[in-house]
Amino acid sequence: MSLIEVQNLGKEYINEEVKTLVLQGVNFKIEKGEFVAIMGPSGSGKSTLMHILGFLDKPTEGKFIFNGQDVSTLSDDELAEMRSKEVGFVFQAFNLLPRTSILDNVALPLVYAGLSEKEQKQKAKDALMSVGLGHRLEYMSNQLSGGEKQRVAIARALVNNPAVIFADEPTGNLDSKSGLQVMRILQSLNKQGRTIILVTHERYTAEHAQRILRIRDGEVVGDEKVSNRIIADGVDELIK
Amino acid sequence: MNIFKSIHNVWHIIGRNKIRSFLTMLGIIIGVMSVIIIMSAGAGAQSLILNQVKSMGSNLIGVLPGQSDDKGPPASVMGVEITSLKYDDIREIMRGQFPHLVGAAVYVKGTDTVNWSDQKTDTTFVGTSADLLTVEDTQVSAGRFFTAEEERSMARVAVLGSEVVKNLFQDIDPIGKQIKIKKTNFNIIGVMRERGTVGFQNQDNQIFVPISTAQKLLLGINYISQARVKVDDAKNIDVGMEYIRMILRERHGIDNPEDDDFSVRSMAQSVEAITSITDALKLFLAAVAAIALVVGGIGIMNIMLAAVQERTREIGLRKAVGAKNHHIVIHFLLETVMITLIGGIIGILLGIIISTLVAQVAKGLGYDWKLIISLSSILLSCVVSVGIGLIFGIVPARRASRLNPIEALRYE
Repeated sequence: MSLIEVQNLGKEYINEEVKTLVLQGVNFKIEKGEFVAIMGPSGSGKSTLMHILGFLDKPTEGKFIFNGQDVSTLSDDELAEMRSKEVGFVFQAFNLLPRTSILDNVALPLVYAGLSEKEQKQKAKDALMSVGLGHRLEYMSNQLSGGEKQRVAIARALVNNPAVIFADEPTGNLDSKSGLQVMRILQSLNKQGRTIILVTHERYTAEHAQRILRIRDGEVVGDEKVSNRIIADGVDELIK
Repeated sequence: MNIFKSIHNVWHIIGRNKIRSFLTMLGIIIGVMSVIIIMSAGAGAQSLILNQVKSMGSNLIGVLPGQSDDKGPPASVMGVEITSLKYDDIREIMRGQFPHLVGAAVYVKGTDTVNWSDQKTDTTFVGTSADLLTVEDTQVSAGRFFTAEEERSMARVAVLGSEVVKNLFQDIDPIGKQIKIKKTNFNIIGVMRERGTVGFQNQDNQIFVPISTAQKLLLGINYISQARVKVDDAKNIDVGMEYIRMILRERHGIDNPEDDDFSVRSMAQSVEAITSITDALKLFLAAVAAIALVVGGIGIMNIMLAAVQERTREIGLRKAVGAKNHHIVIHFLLETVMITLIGGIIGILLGIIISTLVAQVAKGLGYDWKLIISLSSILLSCVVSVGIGLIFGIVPARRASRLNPIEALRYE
C-alpha cells in the first residue's frame, strides 16, 4: 500500500463563471520514505497539487488515497484534523508568528493537537534541537536570520511527527549557504525514514530529491528517478 | 486546547500592541466608567434626599393646595400659585374632633434682603405657626420660638436660622436686636438649632416669623402654600389623612374626590414619589452612558475586523498547522472579550475613584453624602463588558475562521 496515491486527479476553479482547469488527469503513487520533488514552472499547478496532497484543498475530480483511505471528500474540519496529524509544512516565506518565541512557534501545531503544555514544550524543544537551534529557544522569531527562520519552520513541520513533510520552495528566500543547510536537514530527515515532498521550479533544488515529478499546464509530464542526486554536504559546522 | 494557555496567548497578543489595545479599550473604559459614576452619584443623591426627608419624621402628613395624583409632584411644585388652602382649613382640622393629631405647621415663604445696622444678607423668610418646633422635631439653640399668642397678635418677632446669624451678626448675640425685613422692623427673640440642608433647601439660611405677620405685613396674601400635620403614631397616618380629606372637602364644598383642590400625602408617599423620580432619572442617565458602551463596541468591532485582515497570514498558518474553524473563532472571540473585559475593569476602577472624589467634594460642600457603589453595578459592568466583546467580536471572529488557508497564506 502506497502512502499517497492519486487517481485521475483534477482541480478546476470557477471564478465569476469562468472555469480554470488547474490540474487534470494526474496519476502517481508516493511510497513511504520517499523524497519526491514536484517541479514545474510557475502556473503549472504544482502548488495546487501540493495543497491537495497537504489537505489544504480538495480535488474536484478523481481520487486521493492517503494511507489506504480515500480522502478526496473530507469536510473542512476533517481536513484540519489530517493537517494536524499527518502533515507538516515548510513555506517559502517561513510564516512564523511575529514577536513570539521560537519555542512557542514550534509548539503551535501541538496546541491544536490537544497536547498538554508540558508535552508541547518538550516536543518543541526536541524538534528545535534536531535542527540545531536548541540554544535559542526563547529567541523571538524576528531576531533570527532567514536560514534560522527556515530551520524553525522545519522544526515546526516536524514537531507533530507527521507522515509527510511538504516543503514549498523552502530555499526560495534564502542565500545559497542557508539554502544548502535547509536541503541538508531535509535530506537527513529523509534518511531517518521521513517522507518528504519538495515543491520547486528549480532543477538544481529538485535534484536533491530521489525522484522528480514534472508538472506542466496541470498535467504530469515526467516522472523520473534522479540519477545524479545532489547531496547537500559539508555544512555540518554551520548547524550548531 | 487549554483555555488558560489560550488566555495567556491572547494576553501576549494584546501586549504586543499596547497603545492600540489601550485605544481600542478606551470606548469601553469611558462607557463603563460613566455608568459606574452615574449609578454611584445617583444612588448617593437619592439617599441624601431620602434621608433628609425621613429625618423630618415619618409621622407627618403633608397638605398642599391643588390636586395631584399619588405619585406625581403636586401642582405647586410647578410654580403655579394656588390660593385655595387657608389657615382656617388647618385650624378646623386641629379643632379636636380627631384626637391623634398632635400639631400642625403652616407655611408661606418669601425672599428679601434683610438688614441689620450696615449688614445685609439675602435670605428666605418663612411665615409659620407656633407648632413648628413640635411638627419638625427641632429646637431653638438660644432665646425662644414665638408663641400662639404672638402668632394671633401679628407680633413683629423673628427667629433666625444659624446661618443668617453668622451672616448678619458674626459673633454678636442677636437676641433683642432689630432687623428689617421688607422695610418692617422685627425683634429677634431666638436662634434655631443648626439643621443642615433638606432637599435642596438650606434650612439654616431662613428667618421664621409668625404666619399672620408674614401674610399681612410681608406678602399681602391670605392663603398658605403648605401645611404639615403631625400624628401621634405612624399607624394613625392613614386614618388621619382620610380625616383631613373629609374636613377639607366639607369646607371647600367638594362632593366628588376627583374634584379635590388640595392634596394630602404621607411622608411614606413622598419618599415613594422621590424614589420613583430619582430612579427614573438614574435609569435615563445610565442609558445615556450605555450609548458610549455601544459606540465603544462598534469601535472594537472595527479594529478587530482590521486585525483579522492584518493577520490573514497568521490565520492561514494556524489553519495549515491544524487549527479547526472553531479554534479560530474562539481565539478571536477570546481576544475581543479580553480587550472589553480589561477595559471594563479599568473603567470600574476609574469609576470608583471618580465616585469617591465626587463623594469627597460633596462632603466638602457640607452634604451628608454617602459613597454608594453597589456590587450589582460592578457585576453588571463586567457582564456587559463581556457581552459587548461577544456581540461585537463574533463578526470578526467568524470572518477569520472562514478564511481559506491557501489564500490566507498567499495574502500579502
